[in-house]
Amino acid sequence: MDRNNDMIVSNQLFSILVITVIGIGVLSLPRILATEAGPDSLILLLLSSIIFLIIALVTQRLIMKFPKQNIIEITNSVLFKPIGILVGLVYFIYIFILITLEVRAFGEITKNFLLLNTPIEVIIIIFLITTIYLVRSGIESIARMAVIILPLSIIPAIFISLVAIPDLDFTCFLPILRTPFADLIRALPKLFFSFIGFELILIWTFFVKDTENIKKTVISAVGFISLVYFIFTGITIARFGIAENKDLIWPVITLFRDVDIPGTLVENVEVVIMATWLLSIFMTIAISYFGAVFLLSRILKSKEHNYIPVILLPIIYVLSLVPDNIAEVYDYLDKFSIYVGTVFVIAIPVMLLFISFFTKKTKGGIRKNG
Amino acid sequence: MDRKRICIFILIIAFIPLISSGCWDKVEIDERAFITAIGYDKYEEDDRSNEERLEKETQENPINRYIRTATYPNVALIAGKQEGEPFFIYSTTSISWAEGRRQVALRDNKNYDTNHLKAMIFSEELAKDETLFREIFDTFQRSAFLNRKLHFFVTPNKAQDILMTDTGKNMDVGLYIEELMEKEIRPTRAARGDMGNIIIDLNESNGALAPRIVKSKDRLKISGAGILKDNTIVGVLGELETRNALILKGENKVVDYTIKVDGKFLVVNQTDLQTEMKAYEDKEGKIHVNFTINAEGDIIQHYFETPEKAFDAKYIDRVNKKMNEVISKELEDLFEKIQKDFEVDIFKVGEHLRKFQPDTWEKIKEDWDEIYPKAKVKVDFQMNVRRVGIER
Repeated sequence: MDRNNDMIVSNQLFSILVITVIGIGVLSLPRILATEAGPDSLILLLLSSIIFLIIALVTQRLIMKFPKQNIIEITNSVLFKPIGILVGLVYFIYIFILITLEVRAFGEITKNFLLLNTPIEVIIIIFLITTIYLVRSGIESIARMAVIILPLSIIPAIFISLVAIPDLDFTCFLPILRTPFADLIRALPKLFFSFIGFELILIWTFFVKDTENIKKTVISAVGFISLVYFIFTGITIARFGIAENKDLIWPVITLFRDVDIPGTLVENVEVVIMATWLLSIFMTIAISYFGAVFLLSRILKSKEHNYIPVILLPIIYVLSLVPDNIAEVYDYLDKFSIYVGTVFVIAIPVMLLFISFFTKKTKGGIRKNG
Repeated sequence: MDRKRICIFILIIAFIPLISSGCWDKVEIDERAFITAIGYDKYEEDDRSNEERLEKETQENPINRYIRTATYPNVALIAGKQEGEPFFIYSTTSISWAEGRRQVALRDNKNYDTNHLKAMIFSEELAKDETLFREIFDTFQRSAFLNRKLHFFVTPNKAQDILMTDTGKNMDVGLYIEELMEKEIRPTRAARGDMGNIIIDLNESNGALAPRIVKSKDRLKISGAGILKDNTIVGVLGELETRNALILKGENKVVDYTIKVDGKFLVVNQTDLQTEMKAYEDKEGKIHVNFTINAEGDIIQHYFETPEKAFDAKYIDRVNKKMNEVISKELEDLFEKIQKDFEVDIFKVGEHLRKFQPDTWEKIKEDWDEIYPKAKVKVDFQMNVRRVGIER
């Protein structure tokens, strides 16, 4: 059942990375920024973007050392064999829990804004069934889908936000740099949820045909993500002010609700925007889902991975319903991205890269000696 | 093989109703009622003792706190498909926002939809009650199905009366108000406030202007503004005062001034306005607020058959100077009234200090409520008459 040759090009990798990272996180990003940094929100965002670019480049360096390998094989080459399986397994669990929380957040947003009488169980199960169809189709279909959906979901949302420009008050970002610098640094991990998803690049590079372009792709993807975040945060905070942003759960959705296109008969355009935005959340989850499935199939050393998503589906469904309420979902997401996310996004790649310098030297040394 | 096919076929047939009948949110459009305006009054025979005693309303002890009135247009009539009343009104007493909705649901055959709500009206009596005010404002902020662009009004009458007014145009009050507020030439003597902006202003500087709607001689009129502070209404501004407040805020671009120069009344029509506010602390620790206002205008009425022609640079200078004196004084008086009588910072002086003078703000922010009424204000209103029409 070989529907494709499991190869993507770096342009597709760009779309995959961007759409994995931009998803649910951006909807609440202005709230986190306003709460943590007040008027210095954009500076904090700039700071976190730069730090994230550095992390992304570190990860990319690691990947370039071991081209056409995934995280399991990379760990195996850096360390010794069973560790790779172990690291693969923890990455799998990490992605898996992330999926369950994101699925729940998606369900809550849909129920809150679009389908308020439909039970959340039904929303989630139908969503997951749609997702596994895409996941089973393999990386090539996912990559093509990402290329199609990326402009489809982001362009209308940005366009709608631009309509709000006459109402903006950019003095909201004054006074500049009054927040203690230590507070800004302390707030950085909280922003990680917005950038989570990028670590999956450790899996995708396995499929990339033109390895030499990966560095360019990584830089442009981080740049693009930061730009989109800048636009949304800038417009949302300038529109609602700092105090209001602290109170809104999803300020960006409220921004969509707040604009009406002048001169049109159509009111409540936010429904259209929400629908296209859900496509991007769908892709976020589908891509992560595929990542989890791929890792599991490597761990189990099974050649066929089409049955795995079906087996995982009920587990994701049940786990996603574990949090009692929306506040708990975001509580888990925050804690998860701060404590666990940091380990998987920063610590493991940095450690592997560091050890790889070390092991290579000793290996070379052994060879010389031997 | 055939058996397998039949099995799959049966499965598919069984699956179709499961998927296609699953729309929980289906409401046909003709079953919906698109509410255009909601009004809230305080329930008068307010039995507070009952309320304090009980945590929750029960069958034996109903607690009534609001009178909730909602109106929606007869869409079939607008479409020309049906005769009858142009709009419908339902009014009910209730303990809370939601309870009112449930009460009305017992009496009306339509499903209410508040996505297209145009106006919300509070009676001033209700707006003076902080608890009720905050309850309703929270609902509006929290709900995902209420439009933040809706117009918020306070009224000295009962909100119920306002909504029951016959507009004389065969349309319901909500749509009427919307057309009134959004017409090409906007009324200059009433505040403009949509819900979203009022919430932002209350959040940022604890003060906002809400337009007032009054019923005079069985007709509706938008007039003046209510001043909101600490989530209640603390005072009202008359029509001229509101006009002046909006000039100070830089929102009123087109205004007519009637002014007496050399014993004759003449009319200057302002066409553009730039307002700049500066606040600073002097060496003695006193806060100063300076407004620099630059306006442009035309003389649109002078005096027939008079030797003093308006088509004269020196005369225009005199007009400019006179307006500088008179209007600056008027604006200063208004600022002081709002500042000293109501102690409300609707001109966002505190916000200005916080943004542009953060060092000063750090020093005074704790005592801002006491410092603000003592701040000194100076207004410099510069009118520049550019044109005089086609007559000398």
